[in-house]
Amino acid sequence: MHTYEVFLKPDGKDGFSHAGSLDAPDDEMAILYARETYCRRGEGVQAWVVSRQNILELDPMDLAVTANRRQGINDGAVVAQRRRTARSEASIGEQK
Amino acid sequence: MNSLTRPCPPRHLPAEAHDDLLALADDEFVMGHRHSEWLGLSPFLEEDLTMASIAQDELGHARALYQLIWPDSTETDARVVRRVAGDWRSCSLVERQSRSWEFALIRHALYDISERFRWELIVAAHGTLLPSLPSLAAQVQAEERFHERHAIDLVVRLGRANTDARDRLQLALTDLWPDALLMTDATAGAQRWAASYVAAVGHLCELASLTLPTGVPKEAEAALGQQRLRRHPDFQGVTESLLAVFAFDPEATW
Repeated sequence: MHTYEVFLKPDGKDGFSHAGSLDAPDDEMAILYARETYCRRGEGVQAWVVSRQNILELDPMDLAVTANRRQGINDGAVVAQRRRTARSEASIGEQK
Repeated sequence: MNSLTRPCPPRHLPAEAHDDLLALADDEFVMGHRHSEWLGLSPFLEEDLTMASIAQDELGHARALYQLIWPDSTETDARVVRRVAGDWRSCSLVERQSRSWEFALIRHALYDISERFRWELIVAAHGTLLPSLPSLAAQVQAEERFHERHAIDLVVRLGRANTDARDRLQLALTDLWPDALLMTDATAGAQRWAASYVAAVGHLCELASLTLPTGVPKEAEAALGQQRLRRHPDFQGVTESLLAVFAFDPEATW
Protein backbone atom coordinates (compact mmCIF):
# COMPACT_ATOMS: atom_id res chain seq x y z
CA MET A 1 0.00 0.00 0.00
CA HIS A 2 1.11 3.56 -0.69
CA THR A 3 0.05 6.74 1.02
CA TYR A 4 -1.59 9.51 -0.97
CA GLU A 5 -2.57 13.08 -0.10
CA VAL A 6 -5.90 14.43 -1.29
CA PHE A 7 -6.61 18.08 -2.12
CA LEU A 8 -10.06 19.46 -2.85
CA LYS A 9 -11.22 22.64 -4.51
CA PRO A 10 -14.71 23.71 -3.45
CA ASP A 11 -17.06 25.44 -5.88
CA GLY A 12 -16.38 29.19 -6.06
CA LYS A 13 -13.27 31.27 -5.64
CA ASP A 14 -11.48 29.25 -2.96
CA GLY A 15 -8.45 27.31 -4.08
CA PHE A 16 -7.35 23.77 -3.34
CA SER A 17 -6.83 22.78 0.24
CA HIS A 18 -5.65 19.62 1.90
CA ALA A 19 -8.52 17.23 2.64
CA GLY A 20 -6.54 14.38 4.16
CA SER A 21 -4.62 11.27 3.25
CA LEU A 22 -5.41 7.69 2.33
CA ASP A 23 -3.75 4.35 1.63
CA ALA A 24 -4.21 2.58 -1.70
CA PRO A 25 -2.40 -0.16 -3.63
CA ASP A 26 -1.78 2.07 -6.67
CA ASP A 27 -2.73 5.32 -8.43
CA GLU A 28 -5.92 4.05 -10.00
CA MET A 29 -7.32 2.74 -6.72
CA ALA A 30 -6.14 5.91 -4.96
CA ILE A 31 -8.41 7.93 -7.24
CA LEU A 32 -11.34 5.63 -6.45
CA TYR A 33 -10.77 5.78 -2.72
CA ALA A 34 -10.25 9.56 -2.77
CA ARG A 35 -13.77 9.96 -4.09
CA GLU A 36 -15.25 7.70 -1.41
CA THR A 37 -13.13 8.99 1.43
CA TYR A 38 -13.19 12.75 0.90
CA CYS A 39 -15.75 13.82 -1.72
CA ARG A 40 -18.85 11.70 -1.42
CA ARG A 41 -21.20 14.59 -0.72
CA GLY A 42 -20.16 17.19 -3.25
CA GLU A 43 -17.41 18.67 -1.06
CA GLY A 44 -15.35 19.58 -4.10
CA VAL A 45 -15.61 20.34 -7.80
CA GLN A 46 -11.98 19.37 -8.41
CA ALA A 47 -9.69 16.98 -6.59
CA TRP A 48 -5.99 16.30 -6.71
CA VAL A 49 -4.49 13.06 -5.49
CA VAL A 50 -0.75 13.13 -4.96
CA SER A 51 1.44 10.22 -4.04
CA ARG A 52 3.29 11.15 -0.87
CA GLN A 53 6.46 9.95 -2.59
CA ASN A 54 6.13 12.87 -4.99
CA ILE A 55 5.85 15.49 -2.28
CA LEU A 56 8.99 17.54 -1.59
CA GLU A 57 9.37 18.30 2.06
CA LEU A 58 11.34 21.18 3.56
CA ASP A 59 13.74 20.48 6.38
CA PRO A 60 11.83 21.33 9.60
CA MET A 61 15.04 22.87 10.97
CA ASP A 62 15.02 25.37 8.12
CA LEU A 63 11.44 26.24 9.01
CA ALA A 64 12.21 26.53 12.73
CA VAL A 65 14.61 29.40 12.03
CA THR A 66 11.78 31.47 10.59
CA ALA A 67 9.52 31.07 13.64
CA ASN A 68 10.95 34.05 15.50
CA ARG A 69 12.15 36.33 12.73
CA ARG A 70 10.99 39.75 13.93
CA GLN A 71 12.54 41.67 11.06
CA GLY A 72 10.38 39.68 8.64
CA ILE A 73 7.14 40.73 10.29
CA ASN A 74 5.58 44.10 9.54
CA ASP A 75 2.35 44.67 11.40
CA GLY A 76 2.28 48.35 10.34
CA ALA A 77 2.64 49.64 13.94
CA VAL A 78 5.59 51.92 13.23
CA VAL A 79 3.97 53.50 10.17
CA ALA A 80 0.64 53.89 12.00
CA GLN A 81 2.39 55.69 14.87
CA ARG A 82 4.17 58.04 12.45
CA ARG A 83 0.90 58.88 10.72
CA ARG A 84 -0.82 59.59 14.06
CA THR A 85 2.03 61.88 15.06
CA ALA A 86 1.96 63.66 11.71
CA ARG A 87 -1.82 64.15 11.93
CA SER A 88 -1.73 65.55 15.43
CA GLU A 89 1.14 67.89 14.52
CA ALA A 90 -0.77 69.10 11.48
CA SER A 91 -3.92 69.83 13.53
CA ILE A 92 -1.89 71.72 16.14
CA GLY A 93 -0.43 73.77 13.28
CA GLU A 94 -3.96 74.63 12.02
CA GLN A 95 -5.12 75.77 15.50
CA LYS A 96 -2.26 78.19 15.67
CA MET B 1 -46.98 -14.84 8.94
CA ASN B 2 -46.01 -13.61 12.38
CA SER B 3 -46.90 -10.42 14.24
CA LEU B 4 -44.10 -8.50 12.51
CA THR B 5 -45.03 -9.24 8.93
CA ARG B 6 -47.68 -7.45 6.91
CA PRO B 7 -49.53 -8.35 3.73
CA CYS B 8 -47.86 -7.05 0.58
CA PRO B 9 -49.25 -3.65 -0.51
CA PRO B 10 -51.72 -4.05 -3.43
CA ARG B 11 -50.20 -4.09 -6.90
CA HIS B 12 -50.31 -0.71 -8.61
CA LEU B 13 -48.49 -1.41 -11.91
CA PRO B 14 -49.38 -3.92 -14.65
CA ALA B 15 -48.16 -7.40 -13.66
CA GLU B 16 -45.09 -7.57 -15.91
CA ALA B 17 -43.79 -4.12 -14.94
CA HIS B 18 -44.50 -4.86 -11.29
CA ASP B 19 -42.58 -8.14 -11.38
CA ASP B 20 -39.60 -6.72 -13.29
CA LEU B 21 -39.29 -3.65 -11.06
CA LEU B 22 -39.76 -5.65 -7.88
CA ALA B 23 -37.05 -8.15 -8.88
CA LEU B 24 -34.60 -5.28 -9.38
CA ALA B 25 -35.75 -3.35 -6.30
CA ASP B 26 -35.49 -6.37 -4.01
CA ASP B 27 -32.08 -7.29 -5.43
CA GLU B 28 -30.84 -3.74 -4.83
CA PHE B 29 -32.29 -3.69 -1.33
CA VAL B 30 -30.89 -7.03 -0.19
CA MET B 31 -27.53 -6.37 -1.88
CA GLY B 32 -27.34 -3.01 -0.10
CA HIS B 33 -28.15 -4.71 3.18
CA ARG B 34 -25.51 -7.39 2.67
CA HIS B 35 -22.88 -4.78 1.78
CA SER B 36 -23.80 -2.79 4.88
CA GLU B 37 -22.92 -5.79 7.04
CA TRP B 38 -19.25 -5.00 6.30
CA LEU B 39 -19.52 -1.65 8.03
CA GLY B 40 -16.55 -1.47 10.39
CA LEU B 41 -15.32 -4.92 9.32
CA SER B 42 -13.76 -4.32 5.90
CA PRO B 43 -10.04 -5.06 5.70
CA PHE B 44 -8.99 -1.41 5.69
CA LEU B 45 -10.55 1.99 6.27
CA GLU B 46 -10.78 3.16 2.66
CA GLU B 47 -12.48 -0.08 1.68
CA ASP B 48 -14.85 0.22 4.63
CA LEU B 49 -15.97 3.69 3.53
CA THR B 50 -16.35 2.56 -0.06
CA MET B 51 -18.40 -0.51 0.83
CA ALA B 52 -20.64 1.58 3.10
CA SER B 53 -21.11 4.16 0.38
CA ILE B 54 -21.98 1.52 -2.20
CA ALA B 55 -24.43 -0.06 0.26
CA GLN B 56 -26.06 3.34 0.70
CA ASP B 57 -26.36 3.79 -3.08
CA GLU B 58 -27.98 0.38 -3.54
CA LEU B 59 -30.51 1.05 -0.77
CA GLY B 60 -31.23 4.43 -2.38
CA HIS B 61 -31.86 2.79 -5.75
CA ALA B 62 -34.15 0.26 -4.08
CA ARG B 63 -36.11 3.03 -2.38
CA ALA B 64 -36.60 4.89 -5.67
CA LEU B 65 -37.89 1.70 -7.31
CA TYR B 66 -40.23 0.88 -4.40
CA GLN B 67 -41.73 4.34 -4.78
CA LEU B 68 -42.50 3.56 -8.42
CA ILE B 69 -43.90 0.15 -7.48
CA TRP B 70 -46.07 1.36 -4.60
CA PRO B 71 -46.46 5.14 -5.06
CA ASP B 72 -49.40 5.32 -2.64
CA SER B 73 -47.77 3.47 0.18
CA THR B 74 -47.23 5.98 2.97
CA GLU B 75 -44.92 3.73 4.91
CA THR B 76 -42.66 2.31 2.23
CA ASP B 77 -39.95 1.32 4.68
CA ALA B 78 -42.25 -0.64 6.93
CA ARG B 79 -44.27 -2.14 4.09
CA VAL B 80 -41.13 -3.28 2.30
CA VAL B 81 -39.31 -4.90 5.17
CA ARG B 82 -42.43 -6.35 6.76
CA ARG B 83 -43.44 -8.39 3.73
CA VAL B 84 -43.52 -12.15 4.25
CA ALA B 85 -40.58 -14.00 2.71
CA GLY B 86 -42.76 -15.35 -0.11
CA ASP B 87 -43.64 -11.81 -1.25
CA TRP B 88 -40.01 -10.91 -1.95
CA ARG B 89 -38.52 -11.35 -5.42
CA SER B 90 -34.80 -11.09 -4.69
CA CYS B 91 -32.37 -13.72 -5.97
CA SER B 92 -30.12 -16.10 -4.05
CA LEU B 93 -26.94 -14.28 -5.14
CA VAL B 94 -27.84 -11.30 -2.95
CA GLU B 95 -29.64 -13.26 -0.25
CA ARG B 96 -26.72 -15.45 0.72
CA GLN B 97 -24.86 -14.65 3.91
CA SER B 98 -21.30 -13.41 3.33
CA ARG B 99 -18.84 -16.11 4.27
CA SER B 100 -15.69 -14.07 3.91
CA TRP B 101 -14.36 -10.85 2.48
CA GLU B 102 -13.51 -12.53 -0.82
CA PHE B 103 -17.05 -13.89 -0.99
CA ALA B 104 -18.42 -10.37 -0.51
CA LEU B 105 -16.02 -8.95 -3.06
CA ILE B 106 -16.74 -11.54 -5.76
CA ARG B 107 -20.46 -11.10 -5.19
CA HIS B 108 -20.06 -7.33 -5.42
CA ALA B 109 -18.34 -7.82 -8.80
CA LEU B 110 -20.89 -10.36 -10.08
CA TYR B 111 -23.76 -8.17 -9.00
CA ASP B 112 -22.49 -4.85 -10.26
CA ILE B 113 -21.48 -6.23 -13.65
CA SER B 114 -25.11 -7.34 -14.00
CA GLU B 115 -26.36 -3.83 -13.35
CA ARG B 116 -24.59 -2.67 -16.48
CA PHE B 117 -27.31 -4.54 -18.39
CA ARG B 118 -30.31 -4.59 -16.13
CA TRP B 119 -31.12 -0.88 -15.92
CA GLU B 120 -30.95 -0.44 -19.66
CA LEU B 121 -33.30 -3.37 -20.22
CA ILE B 122 -35.79 -2.25 -17.61
CA VAL B 123 -35.95 1.21 -19.21
CA ALA B 124 -36.42 -0.41 -22.64
CA ALA B 125 -39.24 -2.57 -21.28
CA HIS B 126 -41.08 -0.08 -19.05
CA GLY B 127 -39.75 3.41 -19.78
CA THR B 128 -42.89 4.34 -21.71
CA LEU B 129 -45.21 3.22 -18.94
CA LEU B 130 -43.13 4.98 -16.26
CA PRO B 131 -41.90 8.34 -17.60
CA SER B 132 -39.65 8.97 -14.60
CA LEU B 133 -37.83 5.66 -15.01
CA PRO B 134 -35.32 6.76 -17.71
CA SER B 135 -33.99 9.69 -15.64
CA LEU B 136 -33.80 7.52 -12.53
CA ALA B 137 -31.89 4.89 -14.51
CA ALA B 138 -29.48 7.51 -15.86
CA GLN B 139 -28.67 8.71 -12.35
CA VAL B 140 -28.34 5.16 -11.05
CA GLN B 141 -26.10 4.08 -13.92
CA ALA B 142 -23.73 6.96 -13.24
CA GLU B 143 -23.29 5.58 -9.72
CA GLU B 144 -23.21 1.95 -10.82
CA ARG B 145 -20.34 2.56 -13.23
CA PHE B 146 -18.30 3.53 -10.22
CA HIS B 147 -19.40 0.46 -8.23
CA GLU B 148 -18.47 -1.81 -11.10
CA ARG B 149 -15.10 -0.16 -11.54
CA HIS B 150 -14.36 -0.51 -7.84
CA ALA B 151 -15.24 -4.22 -7.81
CA ILE B 152 -13.35 -5.01 -11.01
CA ASP B 153 -10.24 -3.03 -10.05
CA LEU B 154 -10.00 -4.80 -6.73
CA VAL B 155 -10.69 -8.31 -8.07
CA VAL B 156 -8.12 -7.87 -10.83
CA ARG B 157 -5.45 -6.64 -8.43
CA LEU B 158 -6.06 -9.40 -5.90
CA GLY B 159 -6.32 -12.04 -8.62
CA ARG B 160 -2.86 -11.10 -9.81
CA ALA B 161 -1.38 -10.43 -6.38
CA ASN B 162 -0.41 -13.92 -5.22
CA THR B 163 -1.69 -17.48 -5.27
CA ASP B 164 -3.34 -17.24 -1.86
CA ALA B 165 -5.49 -14.28 -2.95
CA ARG B 166 -6.19 -15.88 -6.32
CA ASP B 167 -7.22 -19.20 -4.74
CA ARG B 168 -9.57 -17.50 -2.31
CA LEU B 169 -11.22 -15.53 -5.10
CA GLN B 170 -11.51 -18.65 -7.23
CA LEU B 171 -13.24 -20.56 -4.43
CA ALA B 172 -15.71 -17.73 -3.92
CA LEU B 173 -16.35 -17.47 -7.66
CA THR B 174 -16.95 -21.21 -8.02
CA ASP B 175 -19.31 -21.06 -5.05
CA LEU B 176 -21.27 -18.03 -6.28
CA TRP B 177 -21.37 -18.51 -10.03
CA PRO B 178 -24.52 -20.73 -10.13
CA ASP B 179 -26.34 -18.05 -8.09
CA ALA B 180 -25.10 -15.36 -10.47
CA LEU B 181 -26.47 -17.26 -13.46
CA LEU B 182 -29.85 -17.62 -11.75
CA MET B 183 -29.99 -13.88 -11.13
CA THR B 184 -30.89 -13.35 -14.79
CA ASP B 185 -34.01 -15.45 -14.26
CA ALA B 186 -37.35 -13.62 -14.29
CA THR B 187 -35.92 -10.17 -15.00
CA ALA B 188 -36.67 -7.64 -17.74
CA GLY B 189 -35.18 -8.94 -21.02
CA ALA B 190 -33.71 -12.01 -19.30
CA GLN B 191 -32.71 -13.82 -22.50
CA ARG B 192 -31.18 -10.70 -23.95
CA TRP B 193 -28.71 -10.01 -21.19
CA ALA B 194 -27.77 -13.47 -19.95
CA ALA B 195 -25.21 -14.10 -22.73
CA SER B 196 -23.68 -10.61 -22.55
CA TYR B 197 -23.44 -11.00 -18.80
CA VAL B 198 -21.56 -14.30 -19.01
CA ALA B 199 -19.18 -12.71 -21.53
CA ALA B 200 -18.57 -9.70 -19.29
CA VAL B 201 -17.78 -11.89 -16.27
CA GLY B 202 -15.59 -14.05 -18.50
CA HIS B 203 -13.63 -10.94 -19.44
CA LEU B 204 -13.09 -10.09 -15.78
CA CYS B 205 -11.89 -13.64 -15.13
CA GLU B 206 -9.32 -13.30 -17.90
CA LEU B 207 -8.01 -10.07 -16.42
CA ALA B 208 -7.89 -11.50 -12.89
CA SER B 209 -6.43 -14.93 -13.83
CA LEU B 210 -9.60 -16.65 -12.61
CA THR B 211 -11.47 -19.51 -14.23
CA LEU B 212 -15.17 -19.20 -14.90
CA PRO B 213 -16.88 -22.47 -13.94
CA THR B 214 -18.68 -24.05 -16.87
CA GLY B 215 -22.19 -25.42 -16.80
CA VAL B 216 -24.93 -24.89 -14.27
CA PRO B 217 -25.48 -27.47 -11.51
CA LYS B 218 -28.62 -29.56 -12.06
CA GLU B 219 -30.38 -28.28 -8.97
CA ALA B 220 -29.78 -24.71 -10.07
CA GLU B 221 -31.11 -25.43 -13.54
CA ALA B 222 -34.19 -27.02 -12.00
CA ALA B 223 -34.87 -23.77 -10.16
CA LEU B 224 -35.11 -21.77 -13.41
CA GLY B 225 -38.44 -19.99 -13.72
CA GLN B 226 -39.18 -20.13 -9.98
CA GLN B 227 -35.86 -18.94 -8.69
CA ARG B 228 -37.30 -15.63 -7.49
CA LEU B 229 -40.38 -17.22 -5.93
CA ARG B 230 -38.44 -18.89 -3.15
CA ARG B 231 -35.89 -17.58 -0.71
CA HIS B 232 -32.44 -18.84 0.08
CA PRO B 233 -32.27 -20.15 3.69
CA ASP B 234 -29.90 -17.27 4.54
CA PHE B 235 -32.65 -14.78 3.70
CA GLN B 236 -34.23 -15.25 7.11
CA GLY B 237 -31.23 -13.48 8.60
CA VAL B 238 -31.92 -10.41 6.47
CA THR B 239 -35.47 -9.86 7.68
CA GLU B 240 -34.61 -10.86 11.22
CA SER B 241 -31.99 -8.17 11.51
CA LEU B 242 -34.17 -5.61 9.72
CA LEU B 243 -37.10 -6.33 12.01
CA ALA B 244 -35.07 -6.56 15.21
CA VAL B 245 -36.22 -3.11 16.36
CA PHE B 246 -39.87 -3.82 15.54
CA ALA B 247 -39.56 -7.07 17.45
CA PHE B 248 -38.10 -5.28 20.43
CA ASP B 249 -40.53 -2.36 20.40
CA PRO B 250 -43.40 -2.41 17.88
CA GLU B 251 -44.14 1.28 18.57
CA ALA B 252 -40.58 2.45 18.01
CA THR B 253 -40.12 5.46 15.75
CA TRP B 254 -36.87 6.91 14.49
